Order: sequence, then C-alpha cells, then structure tokens
Amino acid sequence: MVAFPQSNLPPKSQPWARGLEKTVTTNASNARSTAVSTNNNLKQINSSINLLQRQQDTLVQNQESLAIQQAYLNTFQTYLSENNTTQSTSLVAQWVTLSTISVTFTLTRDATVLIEAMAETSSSSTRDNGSTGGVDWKCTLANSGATYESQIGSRFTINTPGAYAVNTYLYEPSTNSKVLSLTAGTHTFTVTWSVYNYGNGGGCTTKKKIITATVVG
Amino acid sequence: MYKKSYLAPQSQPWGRAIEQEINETSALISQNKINSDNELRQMGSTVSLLNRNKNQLVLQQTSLEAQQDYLETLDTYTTSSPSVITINGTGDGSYPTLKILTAGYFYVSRAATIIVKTNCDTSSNTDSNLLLSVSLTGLDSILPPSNIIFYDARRLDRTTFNVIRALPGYQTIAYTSAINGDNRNTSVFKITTPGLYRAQFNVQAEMPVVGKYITASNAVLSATII
Repeated sequence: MVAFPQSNLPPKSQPWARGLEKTVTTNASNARSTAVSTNNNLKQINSSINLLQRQQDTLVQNQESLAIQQAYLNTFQTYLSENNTTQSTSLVAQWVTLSTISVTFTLTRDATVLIEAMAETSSSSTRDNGSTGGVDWKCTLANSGATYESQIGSRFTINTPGAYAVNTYLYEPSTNSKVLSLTAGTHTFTVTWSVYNYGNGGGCTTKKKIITATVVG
Repeated sequence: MYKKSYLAPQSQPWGRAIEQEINETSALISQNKINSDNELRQMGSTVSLLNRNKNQLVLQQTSLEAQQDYLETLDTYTTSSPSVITINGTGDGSYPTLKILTAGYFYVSRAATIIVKTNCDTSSNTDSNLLLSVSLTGLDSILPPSNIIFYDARRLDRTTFNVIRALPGYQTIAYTSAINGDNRNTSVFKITTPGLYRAQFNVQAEMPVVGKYITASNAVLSATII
C-alpha cells in the first residue's frame, strides 16, 4: 500500500481525493498481481509446451523405429513367377530343354532366400524291343553363372524279350529347391526343365510351372 | 505527461505522488504487456511447429498403420496330418479318400496371390493311381460363393504300366515301383475379392486289389498370402 502525503485539499475535496487514492492504489496492486499471475501462467504453459515437445520427440523416435522395423519385416517377401502353358516334345534318346521360366527380384538387404521350383510333368515312353524305357526329368536352377540341378526319373525294364510294345505313363512333379545367401541387389533365377525319353516313342509334357523366391532370413 | 494541476501549493506533493503512482502502474502494465506478447509470440511459434510436427506424425502414423495392415496380411496358414492311414484293397475300383486337410476359413483383406503348398507321403505294394487335389474356396457376403470358387487338381498316375500290345505268352513286364515318391505340389491362386477363404488338400487313391494296400501319412498343407 502506497502512503501518499497529505493532500491538504479543501475539506469538501477530501472524499474525492481519498477515492482517487484508493483507485490508484488498487490499480497498482492489481497490475502487480496480474503481472505475477500472468508470468506464472506463462511459465506453466511453457512447461506444458516443453513437455509436449519432448513427447513429440519421443513419438518421432518411436515412429522412426517402427518404420525401420516395418521396412525390415517387409523384406520377408515371396516373389513368384508362373507359366501354365503346356509344352511338349516327342524327341527321344536325347536331352531336350522343354520349359524355362525366370523370377527377378530386388533385395534391399543381404538375405537368406529359399528358391523353389516345380513343374507338373506327364510323359509316356514306349519300347517294343526287349530293353529299358523310361523318362528322366532335370530341373536346373541358375543364377549368375551358378547352377543347381535336381533329377528324377522312372524306368521300366522288359524282362522277357519279345515282340510287344509297352507304354508307360508317368505323372510326376519335377521340383528343385535351394536356400542361398544373397547380397542386396537385383537377382534373377532361371529354372529350366529338360527331359530324356529312354523309349523309342512317346511324348513328354510340362504343364503348370512355378518358381518362387522367399526371403526367409 | 499530465497537464498542470493548479492545486494549491500545499497539495502539490500529494498530486505528484498520485501522478507518480499512476505512471509506475502504467509502466508496469506496459512492460507486462510487452513481456507477455513476446512470450506468447514465442509460444505461438512453438505451438505452430508442434502442430506441423503433429500433422507430420499423423501422416506418418497413417502410413505406418497401412503398412502394418499390409504386413498383417502376409500370413501363412498351415495344417498337417502325420498319422498313417492304410487302406487294404478290395478291388472295387473306387477312389477312397485317405486324407483331407483344410486350412481356414481365413480372412484376406485385399486382392492377393495365395500360394498353396502340399505334400503327402504315400506307399503301396502295388501300382495305383493317386489323385491329389488342391482347392481354394472363397466365401463372401456380397458375391455368391460359387462365383469365387477356384479349383486346381493334379492327377498323379505313378508308373502305371499299360500293356498295349502283347502276343500270347509274352506279356511279362517288370513293374519298377509302386506309388512311393514325391507328391509335392504348389498351386497359385489369384484373388481379387477380399473375404474369407479356405484351402483344402484331398488325397485319394485308386482302391488296390485284394491283398494289396496303400498308405498315406505326413500330409501337410500351407497357404501363404503374398
């Protein structure tokens, strides 16, 4: 409370002077307390904003970490190529390359990849002399000069030579699979199916052909 | 600055004290306003930055959620039946079912490719025909189920020898094997309609003749959404 000097005003003006003093004093006091409370309020708001800012920083870091994790999980993809066209050959006594398909994929990191190839095959092999007939299938995976081969086959042998013909019908899946460590970058795997008919007649056919590359690690 | 008060000389100190108090109060209010304005301006700028960051966070969050939804669709559903089933031949020409494996119904929320892999060990002491079928069936609340049924079957006739011409007394051939072998199969189904789907693997075999048998075991089915 400010102590004003005596106003020494005429007695009639004294109430006015006291009223004036009171208003001035009250205003000064209000202004000081408003300054203090405004300052306190601003400090509180500032502290809330700082807290929000720290929380946002944490959220940004969490999101970045989630995005990195998701990008990693997203690398566990399966890449696929297929061809359902029927392809046939009637050539015998030689290896014949019948079907080829490829799958191309890009790895964003070094990864372990499972390559699987499968073809439905059907074939017939005919012999009309006492000897061995049958069919062999080769499924060859190739990538950057490296090849990986798998082979299946079925043979039949005529026990008693004579003048007859035997036809054998074979329906088998020709498959190949490989787990490989691959570096980041683009890779192309080509799979080729070849067939050898040991008979002197018949035909060999591939139908559904599939190659998949699955990132497994 | 106030105008001259024309107060009596003895009242002048009082008048100046009043003026001084009013001046100090005004100065305090002005300074307070300046300080508050500055503080608020800084806060406003920080809040705008936070708001921009928040919008960025919301966008990033939406993108993460979409990516998460996508990742959650990259599921594999598997089922297996390791038990050995033996069918003793009756020679009735039927194709009894040895194994049925079903995965699903599982929900696919987007257009997707589904790779169904199957395998089953089989053995027999005779030649037989093996019928393996893989199917993907879709159920949807809008389209009738029959509109989105897929079917893919493969018939494996293993070393089925057929004597097409034999002279009397010359019909002996050596059967190389029964139906032991590789039954692995991969089928690819492309779906365009989100909904519930079921993958099924059926193993059937031609009924052997009396005295012969056929077994099936270790049947597996996996349906992978890519």
